[in-house]
Amino acid sequence: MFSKENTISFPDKYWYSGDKKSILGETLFKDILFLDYRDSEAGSNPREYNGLKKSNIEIIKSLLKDPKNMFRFLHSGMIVSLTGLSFSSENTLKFKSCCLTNGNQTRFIILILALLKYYTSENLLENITAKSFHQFLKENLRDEKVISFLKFVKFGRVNEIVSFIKGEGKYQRCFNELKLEDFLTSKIRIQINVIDRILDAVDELDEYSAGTLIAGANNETQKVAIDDIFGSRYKRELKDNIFKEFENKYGESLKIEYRLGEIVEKGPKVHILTLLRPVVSTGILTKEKDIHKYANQRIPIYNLFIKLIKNREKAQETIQVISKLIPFLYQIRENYVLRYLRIQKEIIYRDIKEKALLEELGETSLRDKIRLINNNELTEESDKAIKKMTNYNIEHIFPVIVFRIRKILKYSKDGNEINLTIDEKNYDEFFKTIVNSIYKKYIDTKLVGTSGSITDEIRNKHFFTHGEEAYEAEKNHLNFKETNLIQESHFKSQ
Amino acid sequence: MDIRKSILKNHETFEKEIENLLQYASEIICGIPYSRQIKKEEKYLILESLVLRACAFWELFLEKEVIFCTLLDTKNIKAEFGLTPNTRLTAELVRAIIFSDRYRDLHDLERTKGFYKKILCERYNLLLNVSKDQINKISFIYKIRNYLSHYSTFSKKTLIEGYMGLYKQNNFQKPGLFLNHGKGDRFMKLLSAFKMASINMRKLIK
Repeated sequence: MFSKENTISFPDKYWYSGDKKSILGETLFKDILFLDYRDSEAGSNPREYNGLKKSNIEIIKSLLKDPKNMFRFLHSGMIVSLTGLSFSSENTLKFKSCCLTNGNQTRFIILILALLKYYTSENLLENITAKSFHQFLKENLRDEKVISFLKFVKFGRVNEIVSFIKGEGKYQRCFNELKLEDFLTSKIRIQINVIDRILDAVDELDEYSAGTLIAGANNETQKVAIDDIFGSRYKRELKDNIFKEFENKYGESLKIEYRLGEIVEKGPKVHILTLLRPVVSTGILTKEKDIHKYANQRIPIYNLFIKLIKNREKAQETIQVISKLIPFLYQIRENYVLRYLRIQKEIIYRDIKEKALLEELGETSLRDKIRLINNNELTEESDKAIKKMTNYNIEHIFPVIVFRIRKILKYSKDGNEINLTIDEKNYDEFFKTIVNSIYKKYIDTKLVGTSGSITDEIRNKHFFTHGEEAYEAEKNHLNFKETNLIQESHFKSQ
Repeated sequence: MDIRKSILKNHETFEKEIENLLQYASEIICGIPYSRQIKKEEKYLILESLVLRACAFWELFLEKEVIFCTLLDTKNIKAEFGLTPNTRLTAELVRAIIFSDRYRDLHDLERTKGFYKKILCERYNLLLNVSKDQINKISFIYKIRNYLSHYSTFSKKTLIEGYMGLYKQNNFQKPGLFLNHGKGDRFMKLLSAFKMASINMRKLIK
C-alpha cells in the first residue's frame, strides 16, 4: 500500500509544454506521498513542514471534507523538479531524482492523514502514542525507502493532526468515514519542471543548483526563514569551503544543520548561523567600525557570506582562514565561554537574590517585581523574575568575546590550525576574566532597564567595548602579543 | 567590643566561605578548568566533601552567632542559667556557659528552636528570620552529612526518608550522584540555603 517508487502516474491526460521543459497534469495522492524534497540531486527545498499553522488548517479541512471531488480545485497542488525523466508506460513517468518545490505542506498533511487512517485500521485513534504509532509502522511497512523517509514525520506533528481531528466533531466524522483506498487514489494537480531539458539552455548551473534555485525562488514569497534559504542554496559551497576544516575536525560526530530542524536523528548538531556569526565579529569580512552592526543580524551575516562565496576564486586566503577559524571559535565557545557563563550566571543569581532579600535593589528594573513572604522568603514569581534577569543569550555575548580576541588570533606552529597567542594552559584564566566581565556588563544593562529591547542594546557600538579593561589587564598579566592575522586575511573585495 | 560589628563580620566570613565553596563546586560541575578535567566519580566525591565542609562552616558560624547575639541582651541567659543580674558576661564566658556542660548541636534550627528561645531575647534571636524553606534544606543537608560521617544503617534510612520527603524520590542514591542531578542544580540550591539563611539573619541586625 505504501511504497516509494520514483514514479508519477497520470490517470488521465497530461500536457507537455512546447519546449518539453514543463509537464502539467493530475496525479494520485499515493504517488506524491514520499517525493524527496531536500538534498537530492534535483535540488533542495528550503521549507520544512510547519505543522498545523493557519493555511495548513485550511488544507486539512479540505482534505477531510472532500478529498475526491473538491480538494484539487481548492488548493494549488504541487510543483516538482525532476531529473532523469522517462515514461515507463503511456501514463506513468519514471525519474531519477526529485525535489518537491511547492506543496510540501500539503504533501505532509496527506501523508500523515494516510498513515493515521492506516493506523486506525487496527488501533483506536484515541489511544495513539508515539510508541504505538511507530511500533505499528515498524511492523506493517516493508519498503526500506518508505521507512527511511518517515524519519521526517515527527510524532509531534502527527499528534497535532490527531488533536485537530479529535477536537472537531465534524472532521472526526469525516475522518472516520474516509476509506484509505479512496483517499490514496484522490487526485492532485501537479506541475513538473524537467530539469535536464531546462539545463540544455543554461551553462552555469548543474542539476542540484538549478533545482535548489527554483525551490528557493518559489518559496521566497512564502514565509521561509532566510536561514533555510541561505543554507539550502549554498550548502555545497559552505560544505566544500567555509566548513571544510570543521567537517574535517568533527565529521559525523557533530553534524552541521544547514536548515533548522533538518537533522531529525538524535545526536550533536550545530546550526550554520552559530558557526558563521562569530566569524563576522573578528572583522575579517567587514570594516572594523561596522562589526557591531553586522554581528547580531542574520540577514547581513548571510549576505556577507554570499558575497564571499560569489568571490571565492579571489578570496581563497580569506576562506582558508575562516575555515580554520570556525572550529577554533566553536571550541572556545563550547569549552570555555558556555561553561564560564553558566557559573557566572549562578553567581549573579545569588548576588541579586541577596539584594532582593535585603530589599537593596535600588533603582533597578527588577525592584518592583520583588515580593517577600514573612520578610524572609521570595515569592515564586520574584524568584522567576530574578532567574529571567540572569538569563543570557549566548549569541549576544559570544560575538563580543570574539571581538575581544580578534587581535590575538594566530596560526599554530604547523600552520594547520588557528589558536591564540596565549599559552593554552592560560585559556581558563583568560576566558574566565573576559566572560565574567562581559556577562556582568550585560546583566547591568538589563538591570538598569533599556528604552528599547536588549537586542537594540547589543547592536550598539558601546556594547562591543565591554570586556576591554579585562582584556588589557590580562594582556599585562599574561604578557601576550597581538597579531595582524585578521587584517592580512581580510576580505577586501567589498 | 562592638558586638554588632562582630556579628556582621561573622556573617561576612561565613557567606564568603560558602560562596567560595559554591563557586568551586560550580567549576567542578561544569568541568573547569577545561585543561584539567576530572572523572565523574571524583566529581561526586568532591561534592560530598564540600557538604561536610559547608556543615563545619555552618556550625562554627552558629556557635559565634549565638554567643554574639546573647551578648546583645543577656537577660534571658542569666535567667536560664541562674546568674545574678549584675554578672558581667564576655564572649568567652558565654561560650563557657553554653558549651562547657554538655555537647550541643545547634545546627538543626528546628530542633534547637526552644533552646535558642531560652537564651536569646526575641529582639536578637536572628535565627527566627531563617525561612521555612531554608530550615528544611539545611535539615536535609544534615541527613546527607550524617550519612557521609557514619555510613550507618540508621543514617541511610534517615537519608532515604529525606529523599522521599523533599524530592519524592524513593530509591537510594549515593549523595554525590544525587547532588549532581540536573547538572549540579540540587547541590547549588541546597548549599545556597546556608548563605541565604545568613542573609536573612543579618537583615535583622542592619
